[in-house]
Amino acid sequence: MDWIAAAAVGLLALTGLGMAWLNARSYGQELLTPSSLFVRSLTWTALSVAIYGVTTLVNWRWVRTFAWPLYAANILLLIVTLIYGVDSGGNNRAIAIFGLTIQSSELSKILTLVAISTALTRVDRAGGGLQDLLLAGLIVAPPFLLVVAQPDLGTAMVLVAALFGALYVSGVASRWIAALASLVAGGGVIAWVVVLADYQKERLLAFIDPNADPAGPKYQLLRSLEAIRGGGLFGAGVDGTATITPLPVQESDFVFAALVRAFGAVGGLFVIVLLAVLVGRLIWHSWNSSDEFGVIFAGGMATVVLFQAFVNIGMNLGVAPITGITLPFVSYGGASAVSLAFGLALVQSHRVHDGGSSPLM
Amino acid sequence: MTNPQVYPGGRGPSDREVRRRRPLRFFSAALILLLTFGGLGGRLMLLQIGASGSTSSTTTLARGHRIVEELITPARGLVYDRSGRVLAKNVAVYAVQIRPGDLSLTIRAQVVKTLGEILNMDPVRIITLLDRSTGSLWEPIRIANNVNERAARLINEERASLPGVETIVEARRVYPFGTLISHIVGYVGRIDAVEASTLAPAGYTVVDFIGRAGVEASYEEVLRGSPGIRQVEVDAKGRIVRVLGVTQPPVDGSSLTLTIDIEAQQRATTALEWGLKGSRTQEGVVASMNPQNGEIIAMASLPTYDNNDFSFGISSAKYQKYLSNKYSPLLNHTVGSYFPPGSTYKLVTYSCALNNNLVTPTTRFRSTAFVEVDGEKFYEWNRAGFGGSLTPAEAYSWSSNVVTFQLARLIKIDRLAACGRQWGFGALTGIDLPSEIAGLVPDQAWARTTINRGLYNAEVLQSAQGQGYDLVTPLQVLNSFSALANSGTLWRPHVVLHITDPSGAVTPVAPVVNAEVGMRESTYREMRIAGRKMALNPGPSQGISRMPLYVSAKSGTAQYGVRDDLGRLPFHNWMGGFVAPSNDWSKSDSTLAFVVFMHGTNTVGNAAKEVTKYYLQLQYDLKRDYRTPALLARGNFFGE
Repeated sequence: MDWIAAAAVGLLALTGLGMAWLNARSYGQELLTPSSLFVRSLTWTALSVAIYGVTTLVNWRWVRTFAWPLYAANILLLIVTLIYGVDSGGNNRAIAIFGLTIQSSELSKILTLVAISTALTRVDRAGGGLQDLLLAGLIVAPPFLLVVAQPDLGTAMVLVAALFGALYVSGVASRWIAALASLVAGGGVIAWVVVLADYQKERLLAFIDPNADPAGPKYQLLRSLEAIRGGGLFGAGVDGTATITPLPVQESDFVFAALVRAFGAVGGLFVIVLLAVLVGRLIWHSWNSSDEFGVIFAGGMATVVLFQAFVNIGMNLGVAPITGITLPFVSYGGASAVSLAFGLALVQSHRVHDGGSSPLM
Repeated sequence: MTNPQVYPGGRGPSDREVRRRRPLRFFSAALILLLTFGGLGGRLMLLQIGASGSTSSTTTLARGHRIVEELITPARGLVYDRSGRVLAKNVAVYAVQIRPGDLSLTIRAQVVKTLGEILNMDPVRIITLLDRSTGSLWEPIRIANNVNERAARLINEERASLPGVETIVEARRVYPFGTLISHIVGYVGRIDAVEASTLAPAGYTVVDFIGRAGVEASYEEVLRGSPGIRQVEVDAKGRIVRVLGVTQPPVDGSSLTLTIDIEAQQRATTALEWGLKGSRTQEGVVASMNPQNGEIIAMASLPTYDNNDFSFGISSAKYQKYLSNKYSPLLNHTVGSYFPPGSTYKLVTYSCALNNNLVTPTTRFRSTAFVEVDGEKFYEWNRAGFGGSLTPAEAYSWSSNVVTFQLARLIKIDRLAACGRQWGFGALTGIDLPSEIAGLVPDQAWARTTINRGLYNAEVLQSAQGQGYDLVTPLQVLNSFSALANSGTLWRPHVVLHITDPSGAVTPVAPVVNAEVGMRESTYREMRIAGRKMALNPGPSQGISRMPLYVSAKSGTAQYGVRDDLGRLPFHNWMGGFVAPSNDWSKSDSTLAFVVFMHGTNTVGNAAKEVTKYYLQLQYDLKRDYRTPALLARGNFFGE
């Protein structure tokens, strides 16, 4: 058991709860009504903790055994979402089950990574691993396309990042990774010209010059930068932020800016350090794993967390495009937290049930 | 503790041992990790100390500060008279508003109490204003208007203890000539909450003003300009720390120059006021226009109102006083009221008969005391007739009812109505003033749908002399005589001469031809001569004949309402016509057509004629006085 990683996850989840409380206040919600951001966040956090605990205790090999049925179920869920999805702002990103809206794309990140790890474990890596690359690419393609169709550009990018991470740690030759990178870059150019809607392009480009159009979509970024500068070293405090106009989507996309405004650079660095520790532990586990699945899965998870953290914080700070990627555990976003909890706990399970180590040590 | 055997696919063959470690890859992964998070942390710290230049041209915001967008109200365009005198201008006044989002609930009571003392306002009233607002917490709510400078300064000094309270300087409309030309200039009023939502796409907010009457309303878009947007940095308490920049500069409104000269307007008003006073009545209209281009020269409608009353928020008592006055001072009767036209409508009847070849200029009609229609006797207005026989022009000059009845029987109602419409009656003139109404030209189709029967012969005779169902606005009468003067062109009358944009570029308002009357030139000439005969006829002219002006005109008396004890009906007086430059009536070069309307005069003579004489002697600066005040005496019902 990796207590350091567990502590980092726990502290991030607590920060997320704190931000949900702060944001609920900021939006003027009654804190303890069932519909308040805080109560909903509390529910999701409890669910995430439960899943984290249970998954840690269950042997990860069960998941590997059912990797393909789970992968198939995930594809099915994505298709169902596409057809029956809840319209949230024109996009079919979520489906509602028993009143809970579930963003199936979040879960697909983990289950796709499980499938890749399982598949790459079985391949003989002769010839630099071209078969590995092709196989992993084939596995990522269906969920990637379905997520793009929703359209959820952020998750699609995370999927691609996870693919790169997994291939990288599995030992595929650098030349093939470089080839894949060129392919993705080319695909990106084509997507820009053919697939992307204007609003998506505008969002992606906003970070280059937010002052160009303060009234348009770049307004979000301008407000974010303003909040971060306004936060100073120690922030405006909980009461100081209560009377300030909320930021755009400050519960998820711009949660980091809201956090810095309330708790200053110190609060921001705290979150950055927690995320760095978490990713560091994942890389460490990937290095130390005695079998291939552990190497690849932990490496993939490290990439997912690193990529999400970088893009989300980066867009808050104006150095990365605005893509709607959540900040792990700090952003409100039930499915995101639950999925990440599941994936990280799977790494924990791997550690617990790997060779001779004891589950509770 | 772990027993791999209990798990399917457990340890063993499916757990592939790692064959080759790749330290370089994990070392570089760790490096990426450090660089990524180190970079993010570094960027965060750089933003804090404001050293980052790449994405911020706006400099650092201090703790708790934020940027808000504010609308910059453009300066409203001014209104000038034809000679460049200012008729509507802007002056600065103070107002107080509160941004509720900056006023925390815990200190609200104290702030409101302090503010109430400064403004001499009931704190409960302030609270009510705050709570009644439905807008965003960040939209300022107006607390007080027209705040004096002392109070405004006090509030600014007390800023620290009054979070969310701001004083603003804003422009108010001042109308230097007030009542004299308020019906043309109009006024502005604050938009209400309902309008604010429908007008929001055009950039109006609840604190904005909008034109309500006159050219202030009809040229609202031109006068208003378009608002700009600026970004200001405000501190945690909502006070503006500095202006960051203008993201969209405002475009000031354009100014209007009227076709009306204030002195010409004064002449019309003076004549009308004298006539109303002499006849002890309240309501009337004197208006004139240039038949060559449709420009309004003067337009006086009485009673009037002071448009300055509205600029600073009219008191309810004063507004009620305006509304309860039965002569409707807020209404420009020239365009917004209709009345029976009386004998001025004989222009339609006589031109209709001539133009349709039902009569010739030399046809003679017997002038009898009455005609009998459907067994009922319809009398000449003098109950005697004018002796012998009359040509149409002679009958017109006497305003003979009996001859008009004979023409009506030849013309028939639907053709009469068609001729009425040809002269522009029953339709809007399209003047650039709001609230114009169209009036009514009755015909059989109208009668069948509206009163569910055909018109009786007697009603047809009434229509031919501008009574019965006929309803016209004074502006329509003016426009018909203007068209007579210029041989058939019905202009769209206009009060705005040109528009001057903020850069000084001048756009003239081009004259627009609404329609052509479409009669023969000989008909126009014959009618001009008939009107001239009327002006020269020693009896009906009441002295116009003595004036050194080439006037062609038609008088009218229009009965309305209910009979008095002696069986007499009250009546309005009319006078419509034009002044020609020479005695050549085949020409169509007049530059002044006029209409005078006097409501409910019941005078011995035609009160409108007296006002016409006075107006023309003022307008043409005649030295002699042609007025006959005795004719304004009440009593005799002189029913032409």
